[in-house]
Amino acid sequence: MLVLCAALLLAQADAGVAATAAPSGVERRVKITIRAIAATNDPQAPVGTDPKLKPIAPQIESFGEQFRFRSYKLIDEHTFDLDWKNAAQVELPGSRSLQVTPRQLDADGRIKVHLELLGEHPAHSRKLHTDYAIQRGGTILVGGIRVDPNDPAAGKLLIAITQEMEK
Amino acid sequence: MKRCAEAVPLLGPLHDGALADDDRAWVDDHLRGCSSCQDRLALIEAQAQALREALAARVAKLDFSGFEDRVLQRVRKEGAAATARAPVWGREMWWAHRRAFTAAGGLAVAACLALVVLFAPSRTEDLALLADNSPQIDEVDFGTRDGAVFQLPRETTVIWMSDDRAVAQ
Repeated sequence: MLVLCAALLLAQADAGVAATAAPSGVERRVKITIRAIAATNDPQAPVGTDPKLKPIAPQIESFGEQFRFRSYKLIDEHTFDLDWKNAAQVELPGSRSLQVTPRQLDADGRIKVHLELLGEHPAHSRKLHTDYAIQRGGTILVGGIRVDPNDPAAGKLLIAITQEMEK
Repeated sequence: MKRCAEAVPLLGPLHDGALADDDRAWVDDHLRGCSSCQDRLALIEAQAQALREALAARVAKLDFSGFEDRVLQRVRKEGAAATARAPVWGREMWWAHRRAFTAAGGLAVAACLALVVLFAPSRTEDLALLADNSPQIDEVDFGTRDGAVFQLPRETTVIWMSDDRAVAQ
């Protein structure tokens, strides 16, 4: 009887541990939004920030205080619901592309992300790669390359990668 | 026109106004015809501005109000206690060497202030880091291009590359 009770207690404890260790639905997937933005000083472009950029307006405002572009226009936007270590790939103007891979969830709640910016056809050479940690709801900005590699007047490409909050 | 490889090392001194007149003339001339170097100079300016603002924000957080008074009060109090304990020859010694002691006291105050300047910013920085939810860059590789990482207000982190093209060799 004593052995049976001990076995039951051990089984219960084991089930409890398994339940806490299993990732919840929220932790299994990561939602990322990638926005491609044209930052220009073109006198023809409308002054200010595109209303479609409202979700990241504080970051654009902070960026604008430092870099002082005249106009910020959303070119493209994609949202991805990803498994860990699966890459989101976005085509950018000028046949370039961006890959974003959520790698792991840190103990402090930050998400470790790997990002690669790839160059034009045909080589698609890697222009930039970085690893960063970001809170849910946080946004990182990557930019400086031209929107159109052959046209300096087309402005600079600014890419905003946002770690969406889970609903 | 001279090449970018020759102009790039002089962009920083140009921005600082530390370039000799003859060099400044040809670098200005190069800049007028080279959008890549214009971008590089703009990046240097942005970096300098970000540094200025970060330093100004750090200095603004330091609170020196009443610090000097507190240090001088303590020096006076400790000096008074020591004088009370000292025999008469001590007071005569103090009077005879008052200039040296005053100078030493001044040096001690200056040293205390220097210690505060040295250590206070790092504590402020640690607290700011603890409270900061900005994205944190672990590693970044710009390849052959120029680039920088900016930690801006409102939890905004920017990775900025100067241009599509590398410096012409």
